[in-house]
Amino acid sequence: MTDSNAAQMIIERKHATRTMLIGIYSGLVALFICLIGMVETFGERDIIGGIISMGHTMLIIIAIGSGAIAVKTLREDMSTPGATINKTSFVVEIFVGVTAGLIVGATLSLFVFATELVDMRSVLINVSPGLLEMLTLQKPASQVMVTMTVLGSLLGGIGAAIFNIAPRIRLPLVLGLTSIVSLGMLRDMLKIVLTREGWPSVLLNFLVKNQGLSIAGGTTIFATTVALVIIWPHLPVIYDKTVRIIIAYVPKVLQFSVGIIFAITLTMRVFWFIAISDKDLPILPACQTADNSPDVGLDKCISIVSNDISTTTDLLGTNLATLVSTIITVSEMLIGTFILLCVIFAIWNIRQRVNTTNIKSTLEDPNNALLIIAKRNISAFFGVSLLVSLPILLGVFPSEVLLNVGLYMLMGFGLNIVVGMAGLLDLGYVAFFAVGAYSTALLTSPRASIELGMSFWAALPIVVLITGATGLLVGAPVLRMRGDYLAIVTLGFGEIARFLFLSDWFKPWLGGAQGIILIPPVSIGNIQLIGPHKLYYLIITGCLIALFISARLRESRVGRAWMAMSEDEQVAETMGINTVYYKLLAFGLGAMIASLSGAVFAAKLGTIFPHSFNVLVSITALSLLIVGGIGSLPGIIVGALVLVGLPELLREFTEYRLLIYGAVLIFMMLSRPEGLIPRVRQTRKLDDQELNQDAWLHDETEANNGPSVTVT
Amino acid sequence: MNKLFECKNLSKDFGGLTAVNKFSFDIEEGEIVSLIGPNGAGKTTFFNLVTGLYPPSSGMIMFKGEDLIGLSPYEITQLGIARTFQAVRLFPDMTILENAMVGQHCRSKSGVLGAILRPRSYQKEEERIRNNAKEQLAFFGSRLMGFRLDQPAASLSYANRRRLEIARAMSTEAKLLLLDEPAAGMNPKETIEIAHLIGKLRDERGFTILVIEHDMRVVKDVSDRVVAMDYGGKIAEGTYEQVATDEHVIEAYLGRTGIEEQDNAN
Repeated sequence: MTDSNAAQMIIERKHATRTMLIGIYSGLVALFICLIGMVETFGERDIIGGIISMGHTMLIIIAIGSGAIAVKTLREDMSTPGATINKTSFVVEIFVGVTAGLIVGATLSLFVFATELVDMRSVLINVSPGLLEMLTLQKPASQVMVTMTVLGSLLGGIGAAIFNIAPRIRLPLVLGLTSIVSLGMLRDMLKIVLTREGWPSVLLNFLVKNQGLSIAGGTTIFATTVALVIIWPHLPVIYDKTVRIIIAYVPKVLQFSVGIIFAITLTMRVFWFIAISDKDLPILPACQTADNSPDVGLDKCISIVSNDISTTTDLLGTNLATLVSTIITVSEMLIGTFILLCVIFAIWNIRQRVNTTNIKSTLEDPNNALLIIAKRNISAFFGVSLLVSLPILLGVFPSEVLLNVGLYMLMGFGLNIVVGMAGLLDLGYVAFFAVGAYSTALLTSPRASIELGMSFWAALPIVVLITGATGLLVGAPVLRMRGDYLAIVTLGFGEIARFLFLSDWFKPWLGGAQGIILIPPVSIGNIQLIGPHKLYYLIITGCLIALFISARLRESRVGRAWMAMSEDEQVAETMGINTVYYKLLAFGLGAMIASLSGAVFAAKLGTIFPHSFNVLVSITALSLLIVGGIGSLPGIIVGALVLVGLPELLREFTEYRLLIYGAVLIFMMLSRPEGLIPRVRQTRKLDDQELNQDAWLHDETEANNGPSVTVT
Repeated sequence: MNKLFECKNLSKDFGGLTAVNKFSFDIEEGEIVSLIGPNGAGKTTFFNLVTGLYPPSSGMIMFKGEDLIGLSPYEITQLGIARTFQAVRLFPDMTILENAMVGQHCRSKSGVLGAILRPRSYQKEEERIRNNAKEQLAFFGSRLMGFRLDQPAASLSYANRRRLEIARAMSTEAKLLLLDEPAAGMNPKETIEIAHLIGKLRDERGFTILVIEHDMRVVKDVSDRVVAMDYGGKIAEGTYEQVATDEHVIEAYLGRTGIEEQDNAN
C-alpha cells in the first residue's frame, strides 16, 4: 500500500524534462504573439467590457493550455507499454501543471524585466508602451514579475485540474467559457445584428457593453451554453416525443393548416424582404474595412442600391406593399390561433382518450411510417425556414459573409465531384470559376466587346455549356495522369487561364487588367437582386441544387463508377467502366457547377478583374474539402463555414489572418486528418464477426490436419 | 467455328523480353481449362492481353467470332469476358454490395440525368442491378450476405475477398471467366471449397472458365483440359494426367536435373 503510494508520488526524470520543455515552448509562443503585436492588437477588444481583453485572454489560454498539455503528455507517456510508472495521482498532475504554468509566467516576467533594462523598440518595433502597459497594468516591474509567475503557476494548475474533472462537468464548463470568448470576439457582429429592426433593443443593452460583453451578458451566455450542452443528448428524444404527441392527438386538418399558413407567411416575408423593403440597406459598417478582392464592388453596389430604393418601391406601388404586410400580419395571427387550437385539441383528446389503441401504437411503435414521414417533413420545414430567414434576421453585412461562404460552398460541391467522387486531384479549379464569371460578363454586360447585353437568366445556360466545354478541354489532355502529376498540370492550367484573361492578346474582348465592367445585376421580373442579402437567395438555391445533384449522383450507377475509378482505375476499366468517359464527365460536371458560382460572383460584383481568380481560390476550395472531410457532403458545408465564414467575421485582424489560418490547418492535419465530418464509410471498423470466422476456420483446418498443399 | 475463344500466335514483348511467345490456344463453350506453368511463364501477361490491359505485339484474339485486338478493357468486358486478379483487387472503401453492383455497370445504361431525376426506368434498372448483385453474392452462401452487404470490402477476411472478387466478375454477366489463382493463400479447407465452387460455376451458372492455378489438386479436380506454359509458349496440352506426366512440363517445373533424377529412380 505504502509502496504503491510512494510510487505514485514520484515521476521519472524524463517526465520532468518534458514538462519543463512544454512550459518553455508555451512561454515562447506567448512571447512570440506579444512580439508580433498580436496581443496588443487583440487587447483593444474586450471580451467582458472593462474587465478582460482578448489579448489577456490569449495569454491566459496559453498558460492554462500549457498545464493541460503537460498533464496529457504525462498520461500518454505512462500509458505506453514499458513505462516504469504507469499511474499518476492528482497531486503529481497538479504539480506538473503548476510547473509548466510557472515557466510560462516566468518567461513573460523575464521579458518584462528585460524591457526595464534595455529599450527593445529599436529592433522589435512591436514592443510598444501599449503592450507593456497591458502586461504590467502600470505596476512596478518587481511586483509584476512576482504576480505574473504566481498567476502563471495558478493557471497551469487550473489546466491540470481540468483534466481531473469528470467529463460530465468538464464539457459544459469548457464549452461555456469558449462560447463567452467567441461571442466576445464576434461582438461587432452581435452589435450589427442586434441593432437591426425586429430585435429588441433590450437584448443589445443587456449583452453588450461598449467594448465587450457585459458581465450579466457573459454570465447569461455561459449559463445558456451550459444548459444547452446538458440538454443536447436529450433533444432527439424530446423531439421524437413531441412529434408523436402531435400526430397522435392533433387532427390532420389542423396540422395541415398550420403548415400551409406558416409556408405562406414565410414566402410573403421573403417576398417583402427581396422586393419591397429596402430601407435598412445603408447599415454596412464593414464596407470601409473591406479591402480584399471579393468585396471591391460592394461599395459601388451600395451606392447603386441607395439610388435604387425609391425606384423599386415605385415600381411595385405602395398598394402591393400594404397588401403584403397585411397578409403577413393576418397569417401570423392565424398561426397563433391554430397553434392555440392544436394545444387545446391535444389536451382535450388526451383527457378523452379517444381511439386508444390507434394512439397507443403511434406513441410507442418505433418504426411508425407516419412518424418517420412527419419527422422528416418537420425537419425539412424548419431547415428551409431557417435558411430562408437568415438574411432577414441578420441583415446585410452578415449576409455578405454568408454569400461568400455560399460562393465557395458551391465551388466545393463542384470540386467534390472531381476530387471527392472521381478521385482526380484538381488544383486549377479556379479556371472554371473564372470562365463562368467571364462568360457571364461577356454575355450580359452592355459594355462588353460583343455587346449582347443578355439577361442573366438567358445567359446562364450558355455560360454553363461554355464552361462545361472548357472542362472537357482541360480534361482531355490530362486523361492519362494521376495523383501528383495531375495536380501539378491542373495547377498550371489554372494559372494559364488567369494569364489568358490578363493577356493583351484577348484584351479587345476580355479587357485585360481592366476586366469587364457594368455587369447588370440579376433580376427576377421587375425585382432586381442587388446587395448580398438578396443574392443570398440565389446562391443558396444554387447550393441546394448542387447538394441535391451531388447526393443523387453519389448513390447511383454514375457515382459507383466514379468511386470504383478513384479506388482502382485499372480494375474499374476491366469491370466494364469506360474510364475516359467518366473522367471527362467528372471534369465537365465539376466545371458546370463552378460556372454557376462564377456567374453569381460576376453579377454580385458588377465588375470582374483577372486578379480575382488567383490560385488562392483553388487552394481555399480544396482546403475546405479537406477540412470538412473529403467526399462528405455535410463536410463541405461545415468546411466552407469554418474556412471562409470565420475569417470574414474576424476581418479586423486581417494582419494575423493567414497566421491563424495556417495554425488551424496544421492542427487539423495533426489531430483530425480525416476531416471535421468524415465520410461514413471511412469510420467503419473491421468487423469482429469476420475475424471470429477466420479464427474458427483456422482452428478447424488445424483440427482436421488435412493433407498439405503440394505442387506437382 | 464452334470455339468460344481463340487466340493464334499471340506474342507480347516488353522491350527485349518476350513475355508471351506465339501462344495459340482455344476454349470451347462450357469448358473448364486450367493454365499452369512456373512463375514468370507468362500466364498473367496472357490474361492481361486477353482483357485488353496490354496491347499484344502480334497475333490475334477472337471471342464469339469478334476480334478483340484494339478494343478497350471495358469493351472486352462488355463482350463477355470478366476476370479476377492474382493479388485481390477489390474497391476497398466501397461496400460489398456496391462492389458487386459495379460489375453490372456494363449491363446497364442510365446516365447523369437518370441519376438526378430518377424516373421509373432508372428505379427499375437500379432495382435489377441490386437484385442481380445480391443473387451473385448469395452464390457463396451467407458469407457475403445479410449485414455484410453494407460493410466496406476492406473489412472482409482474405478468403471472403477472393469470393467477392469472383462475385464481382460473375455480375458482369460474362460468358468467359478468367480466374487468376483463385486458391492462392487459402487454407486446405477453403481450397477444396474453391475447387468445388469452380465446378458449380460451370454446372449451375453456365460460365466457361479459364483458370490459372498452382495448386495441383484444384487443377486435377476441376479441369476438363490443362494447358501448360513456359517462357511464354505452350509446352503441353491435354487432360490432367497427360500434362502431369509430360516431360516438358516436369522439366519446366523441376529443371533438367529433375528429369534425370526421376529417370534414375525409374
